[in-house]
Amino acid sequence: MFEPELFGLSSPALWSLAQSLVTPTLGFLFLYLMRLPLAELSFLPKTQYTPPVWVVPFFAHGSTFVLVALLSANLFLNWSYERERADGIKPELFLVRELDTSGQHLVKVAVVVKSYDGLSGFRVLANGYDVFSSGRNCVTSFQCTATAAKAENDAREFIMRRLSGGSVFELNKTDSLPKEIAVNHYLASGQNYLDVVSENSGTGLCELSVEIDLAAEAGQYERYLLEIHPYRDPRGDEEPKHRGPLLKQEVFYSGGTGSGSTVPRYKTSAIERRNSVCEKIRISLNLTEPQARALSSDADFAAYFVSRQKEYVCETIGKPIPGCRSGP
Amino acid sequence: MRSELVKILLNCVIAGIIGYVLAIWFGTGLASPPSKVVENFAQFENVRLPIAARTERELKSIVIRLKGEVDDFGRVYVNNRQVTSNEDPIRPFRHITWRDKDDDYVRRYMVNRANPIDPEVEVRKFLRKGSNWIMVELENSRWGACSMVLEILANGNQLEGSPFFIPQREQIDGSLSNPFLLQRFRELSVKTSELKEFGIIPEYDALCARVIFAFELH
Repeated sequence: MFEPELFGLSSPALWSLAQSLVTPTLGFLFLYLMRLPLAELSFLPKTQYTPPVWVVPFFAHGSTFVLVALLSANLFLNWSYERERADGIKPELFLVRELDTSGQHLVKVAVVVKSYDGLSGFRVLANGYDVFSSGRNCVTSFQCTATAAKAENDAREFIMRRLSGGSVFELNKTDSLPKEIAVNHYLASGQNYLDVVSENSGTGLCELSVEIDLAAEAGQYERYLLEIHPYRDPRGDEEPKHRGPLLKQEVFYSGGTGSGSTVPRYKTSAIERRNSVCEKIRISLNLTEPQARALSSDADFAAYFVSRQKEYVCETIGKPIPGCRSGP
Repeated sequence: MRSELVKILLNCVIAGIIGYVLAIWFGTGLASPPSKVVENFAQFENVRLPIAARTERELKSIVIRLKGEVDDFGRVYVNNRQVTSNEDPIRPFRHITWRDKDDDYVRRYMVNRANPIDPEVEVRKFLRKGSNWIMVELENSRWGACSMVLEILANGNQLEGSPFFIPQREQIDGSLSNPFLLQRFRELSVKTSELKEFGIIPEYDALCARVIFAFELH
């Protein structure tokens, strides 16, 4: 079912075609090499005739040519590989922004989700770990809003109404915006990636503003703002570069260029935007061993994740267990 | 006879070359190159469409089917468009009991993004001529395992390797993360194993798998 094909003929079909040509080809080759006349053909009535001189060479060469071509094509169909598609597809998967941290004595790297439309999808991943996302942290009406006081009230009301029952979601948190998530402990020496993904949902547009904050030992701060808008780029037809340095501020218009029916960088429709990827930005940073240690010592690493796990388990298990304080 | 033999041999060489050229240029459904990881982003799997489903004209249907429960967060994309997931807006509240049973609190609190959540979707309309890709992402929560099963059918026939059991290798695809970070998690996992549910394993909150199935539509 998955065999290779040539002009609609599968590899087994080509084999059987080649097999059926073997006997006549050998016959014609014998006559041709022995310079014998084609005295009789089994499927013709026995009559006296003299075939023209070109018949035997023509069929000997012709059938040999077809047979060898079939065999060769079949062999190479089965021995060859399709071209690698990853390299062709990669440019439409994400944009890369390189953050140069060389020589810096970093003490903190944080991602700050500054604003968000409330209905689109977004995710922030650090080295393949979810650190904050709409699908996990913004699942109730009081989460990920810019009105912290109202969100706290609504959350209190929610906790009061919730009698029991667990969930893999942390429903008692408001995660009001702006929300800062320190990602120190998700970084390590070598190549690190922070992924900021924004997607249109079935209902919403994709407005997202995320800042990458770096704090250095000397109390210096560096901030890099990524703004994602759902509209067409008012600046014209220029696409953002696939790879480039992380700028202090970069605005992405995910609706595409000023004209055209597709968003070239993601090859998505600029007209039908539901559930389409708006932006996928990979922030690439390289850390040396001392830099990684300064960001996350072993003790801090363990303390952070044990505390995070305890917070999560106590929040989501939905019943009192030893080690968690009781009550809603 | 020698000249005839030379002519036949020459004929064979030309035919062999032409067979090679035809196979390379016009052959479809050639063997897939081995899978590879692209920039710690995804595992690339090149797959073949079945015979009689390799051209725009022949391919009538591509169905993606999520089999069973997705544990914990699964999403499927076709050419940068999400086509299904398990992001059901009522899922966060599914196991909650409320003090006041008369009120519809779920409707009040849920955030409905109207994301596609059908376990079986027809995605033919999202395909284009040339290279196409189906990306499957699976993330773990801080509870339990991380697994999903997915079928892809072209004109009603399972694709090569389908159903796909994800993650295909280990519980977490280490190639999608930083190896030193994973090593730290593994060490911490050993150190915190006595803490039972408060212990740490590398799979918590991890992107367990991101697999891209790429295929060509002629």
